[in-house]
Amino acid sequence: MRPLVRAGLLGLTGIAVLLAAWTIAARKLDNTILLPPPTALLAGLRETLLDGTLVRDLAASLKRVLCGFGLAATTALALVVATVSFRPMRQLVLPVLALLRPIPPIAWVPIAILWFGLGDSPSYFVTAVAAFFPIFVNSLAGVGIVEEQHLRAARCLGAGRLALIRFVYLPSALPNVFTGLKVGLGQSWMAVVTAELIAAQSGLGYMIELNRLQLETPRVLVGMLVIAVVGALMTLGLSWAETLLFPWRQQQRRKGAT
Amino acid sequence: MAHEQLALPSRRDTPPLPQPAPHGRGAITLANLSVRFARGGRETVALANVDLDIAPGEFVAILGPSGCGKSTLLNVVAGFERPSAGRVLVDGALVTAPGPERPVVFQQHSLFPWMTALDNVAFGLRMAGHVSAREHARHYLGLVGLADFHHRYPHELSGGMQQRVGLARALAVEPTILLMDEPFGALDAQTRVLMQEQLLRLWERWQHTVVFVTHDIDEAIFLADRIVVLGLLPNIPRGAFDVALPRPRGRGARASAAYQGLYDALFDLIRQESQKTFGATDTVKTS
Repeated sequence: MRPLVRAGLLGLTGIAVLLAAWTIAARKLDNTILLPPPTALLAGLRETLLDGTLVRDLAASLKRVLCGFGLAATTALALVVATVSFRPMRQLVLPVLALLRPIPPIAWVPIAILWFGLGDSPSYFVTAVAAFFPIFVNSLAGVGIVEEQHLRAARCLGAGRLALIRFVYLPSALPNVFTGLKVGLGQSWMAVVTAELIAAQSGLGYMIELNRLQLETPRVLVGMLVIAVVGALMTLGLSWAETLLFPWRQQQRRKGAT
Repeated sequence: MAHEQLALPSRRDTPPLPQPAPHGRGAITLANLSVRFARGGRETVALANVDLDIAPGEFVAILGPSGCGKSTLLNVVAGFERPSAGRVLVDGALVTAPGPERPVVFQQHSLFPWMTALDNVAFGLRMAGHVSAREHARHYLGLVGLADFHHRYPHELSGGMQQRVGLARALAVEPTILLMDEPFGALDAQTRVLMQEQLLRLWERWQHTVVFVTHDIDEAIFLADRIVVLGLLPNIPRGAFDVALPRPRGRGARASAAYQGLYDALFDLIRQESQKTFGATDTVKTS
């Protein structure tokens, strides 16, 4: 418990130092457009909460992330199942994906606008692209890491082909699939903001860009803060879900580390 | 033997023992069995010309230095590997695939880490479509003294406990043959002796056929009716030894003259075989 308390105190100290440095720098600079003080950010947060724009933009971004992410998860997992159950599929698909993978999600934005116009659709597409690769790559790796000994144990206890898939391959792969989903969600959260900066008329990315144009810097920072907090909450929540879903994994990792 | 300390479980705290294996079942025949691997373009002989008949209810230890092919032999009987020549018959039927009448207890890390101890033990019963798999599994977990640990995941159990769960998992499917691949090899000396005694206690009342692979001479003598020694280069049987120790065997068994005589004979034989890989430029390694 004590190391935990210590870590907590140190973490809070780090944030306090950042805020202090920011305050001092803002006072020296004395320019609320280039660098407003933290208090201006709080005021901006209150205003945007009260007039409802923050909640509306956050909801718009979340909706796009969930749709894009859902789309990516569905296609990536379907493709993993296809490559695993049909071997030529692997050789067919892997080179294509290796070629597409280095393209950063932001580079897809212009073509997405051409194809889908402005609005929700290009954001769905870009967030899906961002989430697809981590989900696909991790899940495919997960299918490969099944232990021969577990297969043998299951077979000599009477497991047939279907039972092996359900009771051995699937549970062996699930933790990696989950890791893929976790990384994929983080990636699409970052991608949605990128897409909205350019290709949308709502959402946190749009809010940041609009307020930049109107020189409302505190609100730009409010947008960034909300992105950070929501992203951190997603990661925390998923890590917590991971320990609930796969209680055996943590221990294995700890053992592997020593 | 005055200091015989065979701790038979009291009736009060253990569930009733399962039925003995049906009489006359569990016979194993290895006929001119050979296993060769192609590795790096070269052929390795893991096992050559093994003829062995194991009677129903017999406890046979396969003893030999590492690389002698003893685990390969077990894997072929289990149906994990196919012989290059010869064949394996179980109760007259050709072995082509693994089956629940001859489950394997592995050396370590074979429990499903995503299942509790109870679900691990229940696994084979579920595969057989058993209606009350969990109830039965609880019973077998009790047989190895782990009734209170049913909800634990394998990583929450000690190495010895994991092996007992592995044993319970194999016993739960009520096999006629139990295949054991150095099941106590990774345990500390104290735990290993306790495990051997527990295994004998179960087997002496149950009497299924056991094929027990080990490199530990003491273990082979203490447990088995018969010890088959596999040699190196070539990997062929070097002899079979009947163990003339009375059953039930307890701690006193190791103090007898019969034990000592057999131990010395086996020690010399294994030492001779092991030395072949010392100084030889070309070591054959199959596990």
